[in-house]
Amino acid sequence: MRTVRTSELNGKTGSDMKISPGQPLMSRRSSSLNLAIADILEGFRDWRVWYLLGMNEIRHRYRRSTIGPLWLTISMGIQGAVMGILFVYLFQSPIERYLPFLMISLVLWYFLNTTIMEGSSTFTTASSFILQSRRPLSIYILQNFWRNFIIFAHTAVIFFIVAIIHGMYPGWHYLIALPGILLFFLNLLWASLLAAILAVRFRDVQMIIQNAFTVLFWATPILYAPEQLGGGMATEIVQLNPLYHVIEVVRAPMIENTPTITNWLVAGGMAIFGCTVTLFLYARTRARIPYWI
Amino acid sequence: MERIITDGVNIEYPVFDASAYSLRHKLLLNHIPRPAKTTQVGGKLERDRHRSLVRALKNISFTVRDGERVGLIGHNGAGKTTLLRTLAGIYEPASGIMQTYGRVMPLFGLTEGMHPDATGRELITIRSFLLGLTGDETAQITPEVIEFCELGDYIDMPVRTYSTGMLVRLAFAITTAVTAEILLFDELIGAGDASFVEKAQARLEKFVERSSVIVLATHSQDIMRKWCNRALVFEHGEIVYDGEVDDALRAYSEMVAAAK
Repeated sequence: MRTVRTSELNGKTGSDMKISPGQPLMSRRSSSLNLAIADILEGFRDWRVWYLLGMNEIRHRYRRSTIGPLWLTISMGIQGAVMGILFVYLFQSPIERYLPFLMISLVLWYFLNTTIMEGSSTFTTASSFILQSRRPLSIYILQNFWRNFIIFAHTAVIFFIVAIIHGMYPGWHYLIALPGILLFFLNLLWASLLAAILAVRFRDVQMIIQNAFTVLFWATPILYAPEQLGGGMATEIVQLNPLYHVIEVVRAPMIENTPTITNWLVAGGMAIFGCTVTLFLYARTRARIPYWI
Repeated sequence: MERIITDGVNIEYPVFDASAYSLRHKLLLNHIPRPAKTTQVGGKLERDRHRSLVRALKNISFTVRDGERVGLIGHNGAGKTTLLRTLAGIYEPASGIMQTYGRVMPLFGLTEGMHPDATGRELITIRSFLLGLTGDETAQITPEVIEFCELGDYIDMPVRTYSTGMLVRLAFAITTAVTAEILLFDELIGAGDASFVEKAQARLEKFVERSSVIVLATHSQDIMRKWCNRALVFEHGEIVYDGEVDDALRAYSEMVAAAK
């Protein structure tokens, strides 16, 4: 019988980091911050686990459907088309500018919205995993992000189709979006971890987030650009919403615009501030999360 | 050598009732005092104004060396599962020192990560990754697992088409294909129908032999006598007896009789 000794596997599961011969597994609060950082690094290192779990969730969702995850693309397309036609009339904006704008907005918004919303139930959903063996908790956050990223990738296809139909061809300007996308991902990661921590402790948080996003969908310049609000007070006010800037640093380059310095500063500031706050909260709460489930 | 060292480990966790889980309670209702009382069922339950606190393990100190097969005895809620979860690294102690040397493998449930729509073959991969194997190692154990669980062509069918017995066979075969120094059992795992039991038994024995240490919680005295050479008796989260299995079982039944 061929067997594999897991001790030979040079630390592939989380436990090895702490459980190495000659090293104490855990001594009381040996810097909770270091443990939290280690947990996050281990989570990235154990990419196989979240890659496979996230991928399987999508696969199983569409296993017996003929076109599978293409449904994601189609439903986003239908929704975008209906909304697009409606708003082209309402706003009286040129369709060849408005439709690509709307598509990229919707695609980014749904990615953001569902990642954070499903993020808030990460730990409760993963409770059977968490209570069965030790694994860095960040794995489940990454799994949630990865699953939503796959969906994002499918829905993004419709943007490119719409953009090309309306004469916006892919080009080097996409490179400007690259750092924006990284900031976008970073912001999603901390926000979903923060939501997960808060929601596992306070069960109302999930409902609060859900409601907040319904309002934010209209309050954030997604269906409209801030300038369409007339250039006065309203235009100023909607730009106070940091979500606008987080989205704009990706959206603007994709539709042949350039993000402003303000967009960059706010999106970057959000990432730094959010990561810091969440990291400290995670350091404080990480060891308690299995008890709270 | 020592495989497990615990010294003064305390585990306590809050139990929030429905209202305490919510923000409303945290924000608005914290000033309402609750009666402070303790109870003697399960772990020690303590209440203060803000929450209920279960003291699941209290001042646990013991050392397990190579070759020791430790059985955990105690009534429901005495702290056996909590101790196993602590040894597995799932719960981190509120205070005290807990060290383990070598790979720890918790076997609390065999069906972790088993999605009904996944095929048997996919499940081997999922479970292997969850157990910490790499892709290569998974490929190595796969043929052996398939051969052992005797599922034939069903291995490429979704597991929702499996009977319970078939699922258990598969789960059992995957889990026991791997080896770790420290095995933690919450009730001994078993597999499938009568014809399979002997084969499973032999595999389980080999699996346990390959490990250095096992810690096993069970309510069966037979299993305890067969598998263990040392026993810890728990009561209300404390170790009240540590020694030979027969003596421990006797001490435990006296304890139960005295309580009646």
